[in-house]
Amino acid sequence: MTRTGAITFTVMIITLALSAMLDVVIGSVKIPFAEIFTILTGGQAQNPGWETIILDFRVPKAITALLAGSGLAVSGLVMQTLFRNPLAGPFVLGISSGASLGVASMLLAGSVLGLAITEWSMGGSWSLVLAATLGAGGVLLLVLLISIRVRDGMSLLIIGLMIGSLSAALVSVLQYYSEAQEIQAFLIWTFGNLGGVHGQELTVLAVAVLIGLGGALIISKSLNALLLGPTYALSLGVNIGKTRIIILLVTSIIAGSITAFCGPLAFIGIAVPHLSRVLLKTADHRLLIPGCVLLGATIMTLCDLASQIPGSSQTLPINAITSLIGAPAVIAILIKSRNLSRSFA
Amino acid sequence: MTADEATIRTNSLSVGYLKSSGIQPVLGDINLSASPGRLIALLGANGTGKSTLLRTIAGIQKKLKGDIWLVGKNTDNLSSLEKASLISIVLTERIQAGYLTVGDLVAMGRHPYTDWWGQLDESDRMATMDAIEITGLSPFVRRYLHELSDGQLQKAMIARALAQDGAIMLLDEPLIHLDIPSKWEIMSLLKQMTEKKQKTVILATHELELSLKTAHSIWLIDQKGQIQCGTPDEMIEKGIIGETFNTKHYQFNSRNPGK
Repeated sequence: MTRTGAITFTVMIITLALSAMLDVVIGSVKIPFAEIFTILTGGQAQNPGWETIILDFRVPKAITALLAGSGLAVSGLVMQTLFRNPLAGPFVLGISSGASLGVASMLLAGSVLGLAITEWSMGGSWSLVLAATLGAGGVLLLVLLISIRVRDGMSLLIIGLMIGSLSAALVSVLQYYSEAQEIQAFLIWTFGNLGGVHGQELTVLAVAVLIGLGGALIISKSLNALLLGPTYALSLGVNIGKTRIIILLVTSIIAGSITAFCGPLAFIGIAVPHLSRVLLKTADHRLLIPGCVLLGATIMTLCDLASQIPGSSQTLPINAITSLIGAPAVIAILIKSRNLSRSFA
Repeated sequence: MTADEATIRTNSLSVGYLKSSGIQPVLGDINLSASPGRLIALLGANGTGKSTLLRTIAGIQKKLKGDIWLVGKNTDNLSSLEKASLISIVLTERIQAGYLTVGDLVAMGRHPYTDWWGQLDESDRMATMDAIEITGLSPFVRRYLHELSDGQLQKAMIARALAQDGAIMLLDEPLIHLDIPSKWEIMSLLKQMTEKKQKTVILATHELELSLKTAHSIWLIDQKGQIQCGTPDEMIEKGIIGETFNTKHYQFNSRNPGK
């Protein structure tokens, strides 16, 4: 790593630490900073209610934001490399739609199939996680199978979008036949929510995301070779089939688990890898993956902060915030670099 | 030449495509051999199978029949990693990888030799620097690929293949899109590299006259789909060049390329 690279990483780490801290400090209930420090270091707060707010709500939510941001950013990065397309990401290629279809099938199919679905709360059901992961994995597998026949990145992207539309259409059909209550539950899920993951669920999310991130790091050498395209990668001795499968698994585990627990979170997966390349000025995945982890986590915690309307207990849906920040960010990067395919692998 | 000296040897090799409609052979019964320190120009009209042959030898494309030996080893028994340490390629497809420097690109040639993390050791660094120096790219090591001219980019791709340090290098139309001085520069670079590093270098090209002047050997795919081999002089004297390329619009003149 160059000296400027080391400085950039240091700045990134400090920014992440600050934004994560702010995410815990700022909230609808004002808690003095000293009290927060006492609570976090295991001490007794003046007001026991504050302990609950910090330890049961804000800290898990901040950790969820860190996991979701870093995971989505890395899954976007590996997909952009695999598909050699700057627009690839868990959303555009229909993976999130697949996860939505999985969740919708579980939440809504009850009335369609005449089954009784037991009570459901946000992220509270393991079958929900399984449904989202299967949906995400299914769509990615489909896109990948097609990618063996269709080598052209642009065609593949359009096919991904079509699969996404197809999933959305199936979700509509399911909604049409569902009860109002079930539709509401599904709609709330689509808004995205970082605040609903606690205890055991948080552990599962953390394990899933960390496995995914570890997997991405392990194949970073092959990902670097894939920058030259599959033919060159093959000529360098890369096992293309195996690498594709690992990328498939990494992305569906990460995107599937995050979408399952937090709902579909747009734009982080597309925008952060570009930001990471521009800031680190490298194409090396051994640096870009840690870069995406830091930047993705920072941006997600900032989005979480932005979603809390100051002075009120209201919060905006996180999915709207990521799009509100993410879409202009992508436009800004495009305008600045003039040519996204250049700054992209 | 004994079989052991040959870096490439093919036996009744048949190359082509497997389509849903069945086998579609492009070239059949190919028996070739190449030795170290030879720059070989693979000539032939469009669609005669130059790329298919190169891609099959490199193992990017499956052969239809026959055998290929690389440095005395049958490719059927080689893993893709083992193949990567024997043979490197330069393709026509343009790579687009932003924020990839010339140094990064050339170092990628060391992929078959590095550990799982891709860490370069001293020998990897030496090979990378050596390849950069031979191709004259030392002033551009830190440049991003999109900042290079077509000629410089082609040299960088050749340097990457050179850093891979196999006995064989295959290049598919490396001179395309280049101006005339760059074509000569690349050709003489290839020749110099071939002789200095004792590699077998095969390039598929349409540059007839340049090939006849520079290459040690010519492999020419004639109109019947047979591969004729020989030195440039032999090929001209036997009239094979004229037979293959003469049309009513183009007449090959052996005095024109000169010696």
